[in-house]
Amino acid sequence: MNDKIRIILDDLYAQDSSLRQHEETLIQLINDFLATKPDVQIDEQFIHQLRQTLLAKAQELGHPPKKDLLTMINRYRISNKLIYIASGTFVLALLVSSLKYGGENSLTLDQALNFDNQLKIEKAEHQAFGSLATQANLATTNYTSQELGLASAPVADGRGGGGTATKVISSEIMIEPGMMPPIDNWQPTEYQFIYKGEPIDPTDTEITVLKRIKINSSGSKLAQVLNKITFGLIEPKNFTNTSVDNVTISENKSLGYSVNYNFTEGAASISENYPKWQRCGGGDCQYQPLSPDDMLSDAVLIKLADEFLAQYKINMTNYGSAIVSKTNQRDMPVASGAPSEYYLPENITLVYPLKIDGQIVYNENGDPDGLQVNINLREKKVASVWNLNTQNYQASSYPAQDSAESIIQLAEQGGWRNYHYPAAPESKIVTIELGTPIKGLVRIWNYQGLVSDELLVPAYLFPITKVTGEDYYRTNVIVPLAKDLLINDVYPIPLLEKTRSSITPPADIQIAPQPNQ
Amino acid sequence: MMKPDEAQIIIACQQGDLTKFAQLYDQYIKKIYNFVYYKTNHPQTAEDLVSQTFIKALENITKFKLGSQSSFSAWLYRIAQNTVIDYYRTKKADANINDYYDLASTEDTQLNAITSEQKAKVQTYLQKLNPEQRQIVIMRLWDELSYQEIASLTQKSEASCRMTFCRAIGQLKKELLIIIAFITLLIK
Repeated sequence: MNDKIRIILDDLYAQDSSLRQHEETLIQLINDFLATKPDVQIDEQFIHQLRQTLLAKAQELGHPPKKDLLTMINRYRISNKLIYIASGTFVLALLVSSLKYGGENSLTLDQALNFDNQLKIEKAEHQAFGSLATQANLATTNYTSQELGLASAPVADGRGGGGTATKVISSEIMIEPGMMPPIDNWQPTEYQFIYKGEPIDPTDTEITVLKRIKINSSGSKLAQVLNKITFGLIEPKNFTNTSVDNVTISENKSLGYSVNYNFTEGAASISENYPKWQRCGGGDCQYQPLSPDDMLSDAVLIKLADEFLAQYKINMTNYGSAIVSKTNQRDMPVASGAPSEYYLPENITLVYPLKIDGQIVYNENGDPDGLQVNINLREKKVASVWNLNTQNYQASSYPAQDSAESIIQLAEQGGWRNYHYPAAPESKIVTIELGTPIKGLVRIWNYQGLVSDELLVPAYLFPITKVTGEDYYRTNVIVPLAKDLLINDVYPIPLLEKTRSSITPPADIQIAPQPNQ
Repeated sequence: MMKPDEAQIIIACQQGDLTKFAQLYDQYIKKIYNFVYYKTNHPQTAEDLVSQTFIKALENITKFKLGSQSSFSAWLYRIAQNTVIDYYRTKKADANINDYYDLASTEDTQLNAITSEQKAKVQTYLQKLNPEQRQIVIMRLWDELSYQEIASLTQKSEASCRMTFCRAIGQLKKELLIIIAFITLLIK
């Protein structure tokens, strides 16, 4: 009898000791089961191909996911080989094109590519982008958090451990069954937002919404270069209407970098060339956790990042000064003072806020959003640079929310897309005071079928000035000023239809019907 | 219990270094493929669903909460299970998801003879069990999942899963004893 069967039998006897007298029969039974286990032959090529797909996508994402990859999977599988060919031979292509073809085809790189982050805004007609309300909330995506297996649903963006906001999010609103698992000894938190600022006067009846135009001609121009090269296995020139989606160039040296150009997303990034950053090759060598002494001061972190960006000549015209993000440091139990418990992340993130016409861009959590630089504390070196995007936009006017009362009312619910677990009688109360808002732009993603539009929408940012009762990690509460968003895109999580219909919305806010209704 | 290395990898992914997700993929690809294959018995379908599973996991790894009661493996298996359920839901609106094993046997036209023979033998056991017992027996014996992982997948307590498994095996044991007794009687 092997160990596997022994463990199973011991488990069974722990439940019902009377089974012990039938051990022989049980062994026969379990043996039969194990012997008839289907002989699964997994295709090694499939394993390799999926790994490559995931790596390519990981390079693209590199920050919290903002788009629906599932809808792209089939397309991506088809185009994968071309992407790998393009990636692997890009350097060769540049060399050959400049040496052999540069003169006779007059397609030099200076002329061919225009992949920069110079700000360009062109005007579009009124409400040119359609509804701003994300279609993801209206079930365009074909899976819910429950279906994704997100037992701990992504709802506690307040990062207070999951709580509930008062007013709109009342106990009448329920999460779909299965989204919130029962947790022993868990006490929900009720967040009460109170506006303490000056009266506001939103006089504009229209706002200007920007949509980033991601694709330009760079990918197709680069494909023209590649079409002139003989590859061997497959010739790109045999395919029609081609464009290069993605190129990765890697430094083949210790602590080298990989540079990725994503022409479909209009983005470039720098990351560790991972195998070249491994000081431990496995075996007996194991990384030791970082100690508190490894932490660098904000000034040193900013200096490292600034020098790196200058060295690689990244155009920083549209970005503000660096802010050291405290988000990934928040779980460090520094206060406990116990070195054995101390956890320091390997990378610290700095954000250089994007500025458009003098206005800072924020993410949906209310944090400044822009170019991200990660510093590796172990190597005291920049590990990666993300969110370096082309800055081509279309501008379109949309009706604005001009009711001060409605804006403050939504701020006192925790802002747009704020959501917490339903209130419970035993909830602990956390009071959050909000100050006079400033204006900024909030970056949102509007899922429209296979495409996710990146929009910058004018918004009020209500600074959190005081928190009583518990730590609260957001610094701002966001209320976008596009009326469409406030009417049709308030609740971030698909709600049961019956509970949606039972919600009593606040004045001026209506709940959008579910699609297919 | 999550392995320390695994936790480090997840933290790195959540901090933006998603390329480290490849290490999680290497660790789980075969297990997840088997898990899905047992429910579909069709290589191409399994490949599609496994691809979806890992892409969903990659997209949502920032939402996985380290230190929560659910381990990463349980979280990943749950995504796989829900992807399979979603597949059957789409394919056959009136299907009982718990009967996916039977569904696969009637739908799949690409099984080779050996697999069909194996399945016939397995089904004599499995058909004696209710869907819940069947699911837990397969997860325990074929997928070799821990009771903690099974509990997370079935949304039941570990104790309940242990009891269900024990009762299922006890039930099959009785059936087997009857057959043995019958054969013994015939021989005599």
